[in-house]
Amino acid sequence: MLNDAVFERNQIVEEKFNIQLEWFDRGSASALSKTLKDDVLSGSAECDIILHSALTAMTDGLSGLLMDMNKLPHIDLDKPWWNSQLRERTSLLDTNYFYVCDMNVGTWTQSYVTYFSKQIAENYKVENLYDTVREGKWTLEKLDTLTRGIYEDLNGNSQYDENDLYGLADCSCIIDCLLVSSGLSLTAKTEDEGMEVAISEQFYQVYDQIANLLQAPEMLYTDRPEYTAKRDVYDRGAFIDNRALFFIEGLYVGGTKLRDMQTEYGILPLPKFDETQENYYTYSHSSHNSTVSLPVTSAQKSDMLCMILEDMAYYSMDLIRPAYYEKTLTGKIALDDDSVEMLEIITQSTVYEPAFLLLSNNLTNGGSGLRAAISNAKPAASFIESVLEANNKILADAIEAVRVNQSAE
Amino acid sequence: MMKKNIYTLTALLCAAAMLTGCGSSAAPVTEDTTTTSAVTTEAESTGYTSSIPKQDFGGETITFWTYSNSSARIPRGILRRRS
Repeated sequence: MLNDAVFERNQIVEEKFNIQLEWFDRGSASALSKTLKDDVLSGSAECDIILHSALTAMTDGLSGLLMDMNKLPHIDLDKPWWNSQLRERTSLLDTNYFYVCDMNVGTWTQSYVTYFSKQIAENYKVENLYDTVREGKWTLEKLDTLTRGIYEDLNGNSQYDENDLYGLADCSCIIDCLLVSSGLSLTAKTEDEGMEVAISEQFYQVYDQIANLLQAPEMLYTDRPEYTAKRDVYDRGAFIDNRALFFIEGLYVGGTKLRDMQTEYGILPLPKFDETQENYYTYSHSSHNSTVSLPVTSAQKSDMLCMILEDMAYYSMDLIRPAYYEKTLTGKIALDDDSVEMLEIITQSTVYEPAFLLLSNNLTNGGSGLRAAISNAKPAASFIESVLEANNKILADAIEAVRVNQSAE
Repeated sequence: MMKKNIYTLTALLCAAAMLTGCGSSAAPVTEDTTTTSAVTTEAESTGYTSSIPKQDFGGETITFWTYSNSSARIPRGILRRRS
């Protein structure tokens, strides 16, 4: 059905504009970046429009390979087929190297959600979690409390191991998810149009809360040394085998890995920091999601290309979005009002935190940054102090790169 | 039945988009009947219309480059690989 919708959209656009659409998969994100660089530097201009991950789009933009989307015609961010929140959040000197619209299904598939086992919730008499979300009470503390209430030593060996039943099963990806869903911004714009690392008092609270959760014996935390070799197998396996109440992962897992589950599950947004936080926020994996950009070599054709883009985005909302939801909801998630409502909240609250786009080699590095610090419960203040200068330098360099690009326009 | 549900869903999503700031807070765009070249297709589900008029770009080929993760949305048969 999704493929049919894509085909139909493409056909409509091809006929409307008398054009031919061609799509080329360039392999990995890094391979695509290299091919794009070669294309731009050689001037061959084979690529008209590029669908990159947010992380690599930002990197390629800073390298001068992409146009400033804010200066392009016809694209109307006020229309519901574009994510208008992204512009403010990810702009550098009022320059945006990528946008996101309903063409970018990868943004939805890489949106992280809280899966829960309906059977375990019933067995343990867990409250109605949909109502908890609706009442704004789905918080980090609630996740922690419910997690700690559930554990069974299924194999009777008196040891917590990968074969037991847990309140929560997850890898260190949960750290990025909870930092974002807590409404934190790890960067801030300065009065002189620069950008710096922003550490608030709330950051330290969130840091400690996540670190405490990861230490809970009722959480199968698969980045612990004994599990890391098979971390995806263990956390996902626990949920698929109905041995974990909660499992935080991307929506794509629901449409693929969880399809063969024998028991029903539901989905919730990621938890808020506390009940005073107004909205739920969704983390979209910046290395694997999807954006849209124009290479600098498309400048002369930008008028035509942007008409086509605007129209494709519109038809994507009309055709692709409902098809994607049907695909997602026809697995083990019932097509009911609760699920629809949760998906609305999840997909409409995606946040693009610049720290995950600009500081992925340092502060937000999966191996040595915040994930490692929180996993190992390092004292937050000394960790931040140790990385602050280097990360502020990275942000300053990024701003300078944008200045250079702007002067070359 | 499923299709009807999904259309309802899309309408709900658009309403949510307006509420959350993802997209327009303006009223749905109505079709411009004074412009003969205006697109007449209106999304049954949302009430929105495309504001881009019909154009003839003379059979131009528009080339999209993607990476592997994003290619899942492209139907087999129109996805190609180049070395």
